[in-house]
Amino acid sequence: MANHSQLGFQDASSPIMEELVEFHDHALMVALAICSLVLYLLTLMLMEKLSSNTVDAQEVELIWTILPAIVLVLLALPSLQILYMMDEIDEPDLTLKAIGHQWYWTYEYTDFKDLSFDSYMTPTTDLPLGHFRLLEVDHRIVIPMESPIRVIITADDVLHSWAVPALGVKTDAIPGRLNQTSFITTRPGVFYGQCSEICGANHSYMPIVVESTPLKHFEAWSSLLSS
Amino acid sequence: MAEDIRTKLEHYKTAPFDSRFPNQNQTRNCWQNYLDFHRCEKAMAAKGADATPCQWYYRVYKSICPTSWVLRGVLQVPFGSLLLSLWCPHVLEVLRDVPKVSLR
Repeated sequence: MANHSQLGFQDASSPIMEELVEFHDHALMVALAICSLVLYLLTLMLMEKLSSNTVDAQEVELIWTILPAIVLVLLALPSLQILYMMDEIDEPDLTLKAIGHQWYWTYEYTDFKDLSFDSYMTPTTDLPLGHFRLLEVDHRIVIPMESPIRVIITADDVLHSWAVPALGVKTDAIPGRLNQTSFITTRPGVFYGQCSEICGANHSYMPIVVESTPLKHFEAWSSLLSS
Repeated sequence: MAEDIRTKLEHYKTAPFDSRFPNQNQTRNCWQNYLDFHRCEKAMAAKGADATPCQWYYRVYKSICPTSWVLRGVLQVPFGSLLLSLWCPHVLEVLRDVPKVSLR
């Protein structure tokens, strides 16, 4: 989850999110370089150190056309690489369905048995000491770690959005439409997210909690749920 | 072929990638497998053949389709009427009375 006054991303817990964090660092560095250059030139101009009598500007025109083109290529190449990586076909091990309601999520695991449960936010008055306010839920989604998971997201009433920043996932939940996304968790842990599309009075109070565990713990949990 | 389908059913984990539906919107994937399952059952019953291969479509649509859609019978309509059947279920009743092309 995000800490108080956190500015940067949460620690990446899926390969795609790791790539996104690296790309962001790269793009931010490019942006910093450009801004520094512009600030430097602006300062020179204000100190009247940038004057010229020339009317023939062919060379400088060439430089300030080629250089931005190179910068754009430096941004586009990793960006497209990640975009295509997100679309890679990885046969999933598990399909999870997430259905958004006002104001809770329903999760279904129907590959084998009909496992289904609702996930409501834990009210602050019932929150145990040390737990995260407005983020904890009564029933978490448990998934096996290091396995490709397909998530089918939809909604029952209005628009919602299923997002888990640590996994680099955000997909709209649209009534009447099944949206597919997928992820792999690189490590076990608990990952928090919040509904990301305005959906009424309690839009801020329907969080998402994904618990990633080794396969045998996931199997034990699903047997417990189905019994 | 029947042995292949039985092996596939035994080793079923979840709905595999379907190249007919490669993109984010999987609504048609759910509807198509639901339709294929019922057509398969009907066809096998008409021929008096073993309906085990139809279980593949059943497993796939169970994996992908929301349970509430299945229980409410929302998928038993032409694809273009899916949203209508989700939001105006009383219209479903009217649609059911309209003569349709038989599922062959």
